[in-house]
Amino acid sequence: MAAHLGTRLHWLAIALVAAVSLAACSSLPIGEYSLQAYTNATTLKAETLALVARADEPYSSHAAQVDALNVRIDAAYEFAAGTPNNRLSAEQWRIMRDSDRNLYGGLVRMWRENGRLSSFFLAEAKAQIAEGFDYIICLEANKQSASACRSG
Amino acid sequence: MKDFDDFVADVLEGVKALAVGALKDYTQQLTTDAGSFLESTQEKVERWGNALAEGQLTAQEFSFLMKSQKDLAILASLAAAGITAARLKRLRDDLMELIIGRAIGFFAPGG
Repeated sequence: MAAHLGTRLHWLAIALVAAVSLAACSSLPIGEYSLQAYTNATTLKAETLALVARADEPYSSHAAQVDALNVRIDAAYEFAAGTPNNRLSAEQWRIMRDSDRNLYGGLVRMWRENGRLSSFFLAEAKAQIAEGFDYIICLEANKQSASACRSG
Repeated sequence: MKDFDDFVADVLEGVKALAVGALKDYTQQLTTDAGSFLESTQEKVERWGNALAEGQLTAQEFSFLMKSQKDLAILASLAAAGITAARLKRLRDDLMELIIGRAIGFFAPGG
């Protein structure tokens, strides 16, 4: 009886060690879901699209608003970059804000350099930026539970 | 060893059910998403090309939009990679719970 119990406990120990090893050894490149990160993305999407819609007006009239929004987007990037195992989300924010690329950061640079932007171009660029935010939001949502990505 | 053989068989059965549940429809979803992105890209390029030809877009604006689509492709890829990792992470966590639960059921005294 004692020997049988010893064998059972032996295998139990092995199974537990296997389970713990499974958890410890596989470091997947995905951070924990963060309500703060999700709120950053959804709020900044709305703020960004509202500001970008005004880019057919002179940049100088909105420079202060752009600077303020840049600070909030930079903060969202820093928050993502400072979260463990979160490099995929951080990279998304980096691309969105990069003035040498062609989403929010690039559009603001173009607005500043050109003074104002044409309505047709603005509508198209705004849709592109909205879609970009949707990818950021979708990734964050899927950290919590599987959900389909929708753009719009 | 009968206990251990049963334990392994039971765990493997559980793993199979977990994996099917976790990955169910995901491959199809990835394929659909990629197809939708390509379709959307084609529509945009046609629209922007026509707008450029009709003078609604400057060359600079057209170039910006084309490059923005490339940036969106990168964001979409990053999202897909992260979603895959999140699913694998949930699968790993479920697997761990399965092993521990089954092990306690089979081997713990009174289990």
